[in-house]
Amino acid sequence: MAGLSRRDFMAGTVAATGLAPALSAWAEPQKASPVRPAADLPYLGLVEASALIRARRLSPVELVQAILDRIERVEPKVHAFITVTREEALAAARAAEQEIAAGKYRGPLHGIPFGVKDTHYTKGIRTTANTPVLIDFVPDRDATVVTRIAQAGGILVGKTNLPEFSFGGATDGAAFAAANNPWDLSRTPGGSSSGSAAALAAGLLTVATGGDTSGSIRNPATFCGVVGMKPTYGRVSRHGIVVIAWSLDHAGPMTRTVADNAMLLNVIAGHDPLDEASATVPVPDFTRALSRGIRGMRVGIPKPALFDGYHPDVLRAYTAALDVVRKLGAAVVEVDLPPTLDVIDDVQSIVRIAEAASYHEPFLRAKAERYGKTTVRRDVEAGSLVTAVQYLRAQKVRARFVKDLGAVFRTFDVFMTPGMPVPAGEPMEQVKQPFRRMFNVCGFPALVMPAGFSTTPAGLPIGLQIAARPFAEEAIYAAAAAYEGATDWHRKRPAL
Amino acid sequence: MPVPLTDAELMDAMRLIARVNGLALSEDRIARDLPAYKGLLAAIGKIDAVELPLEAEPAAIIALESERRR
Repeated sequence: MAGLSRRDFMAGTVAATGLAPALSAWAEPQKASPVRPAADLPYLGLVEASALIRARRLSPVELVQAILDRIERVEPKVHAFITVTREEALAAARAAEQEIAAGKYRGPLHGIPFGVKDTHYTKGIRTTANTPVLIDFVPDRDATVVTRIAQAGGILVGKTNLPEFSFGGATDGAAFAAANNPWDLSRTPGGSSSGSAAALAAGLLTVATGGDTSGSIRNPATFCGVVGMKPTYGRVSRHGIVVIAWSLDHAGPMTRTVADNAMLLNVIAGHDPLDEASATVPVPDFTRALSRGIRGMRVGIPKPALFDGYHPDVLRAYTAALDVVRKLGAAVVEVDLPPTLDVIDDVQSIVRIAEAASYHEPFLRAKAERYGKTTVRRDVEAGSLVTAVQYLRAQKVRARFVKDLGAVFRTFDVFMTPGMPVPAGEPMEQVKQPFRRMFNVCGFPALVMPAGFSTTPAGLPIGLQIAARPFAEEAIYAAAAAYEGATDWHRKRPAL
Repeated sequence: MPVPLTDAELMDAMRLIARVNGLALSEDRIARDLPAYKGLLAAIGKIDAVELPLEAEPAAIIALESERRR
């Protein structure tokens, strides 16, 4: 670190923060214990890490180095990353340390290690989407999400793993090795934001982002026991992110706690003129909702028949979660959902594959032989055969569903379902309604969070999904923080 | 799909639509893509069963409005 020692970094804060004992620990590391053992740093949350960095009780260099050291040890088992930006991250951490020491603290993301799904453009760093088609693609610009986190002082540590072109619910090793679930390395971490979820669960990142077109933030977040938010369509820019389907694609924050998630959404949300679908609505401070509690809220839930085919452990955890919510003072009410829900996954399939086929048209014409040994080429070729009339009919049913669901969602504050119908890797064939793609079709916000563990098979995370009407992310965070505060599922760590 | 088609008829349709779209699908690709195309047609069949008014409009790009503005 040129021109600044760790002692210098700490020295400016004594008078301001009254942290003399902590400072002496940093200043004389050979004689005293640090604020926190280095082994704990990779699992430090954003809220805690940013407070320590702001108070200069933790150096960004120390935090990034601890993360990189853990990646070196654990990554060979998990395969959470496609690219680790080790040298760039260390250089950025040194720069952040100097800025903060000079009094130029940018905010809660300053000096915080983050990762992004390898669909997010990163200037000068390859962006492969785990496909041989884009194996050599090095963007000349950052995705807006990346720009916003970097401008807030975040430090990019790596690009996370996914199935080819984000197709499918599990990494498939199209160009790079498939990711594994940190809770059971023989099982899938889910997908398609597989690496972001696996990295968070394994303590390889402080925060991350993912993409969600068919549930691709919520599925892996549930399977890996972390928090994933698919914000309202238009809330977070899609600019500079490899497309699946324009009208269904969302980007969103993935973290280990609800508060961290709200803090990261604060940074990445907001209008972006580079995204045609970006909303112009004001962005609140989502962290202010965290202390509101759930007392007095009306919580909508589906009728039990819609849970046909769900794993018994998932239903047990869901029932227990609703009991917690009731004890916290919320009213839980069963609601009728629009009849078009029965076909909404079909609608999503047609809209998704027709839009994807349009995006893939140049690849199919010029690089078709380069697709990986997956079903992506097959699927987009078949999607190319969907007619305009068929696509528009799906969009008509979609329009009706959005209108009808909006009316239902105005009758309560939040809507709760299990995060996924089964634990990671368990069969899904008998599931009637997964409650996943419906939120991509309507664009309403939905978050998943840890809500238990399975017993058969043992030890796999189970999630709770909380959704709400458009741009009501604050209600979701209020409910989620209340539930998290009454439980300790988010504190569990996989043995790696 | 209003009229059930045989696999051979579907493959004929795939060849023609692909050609019209300027997509060169080999016979091998047609055979590989057939199960995916049949899956899409099954989904389209279910969507077709939804009764819609003549005036129904598609949600080409959904535009959401904050509830606060209502």
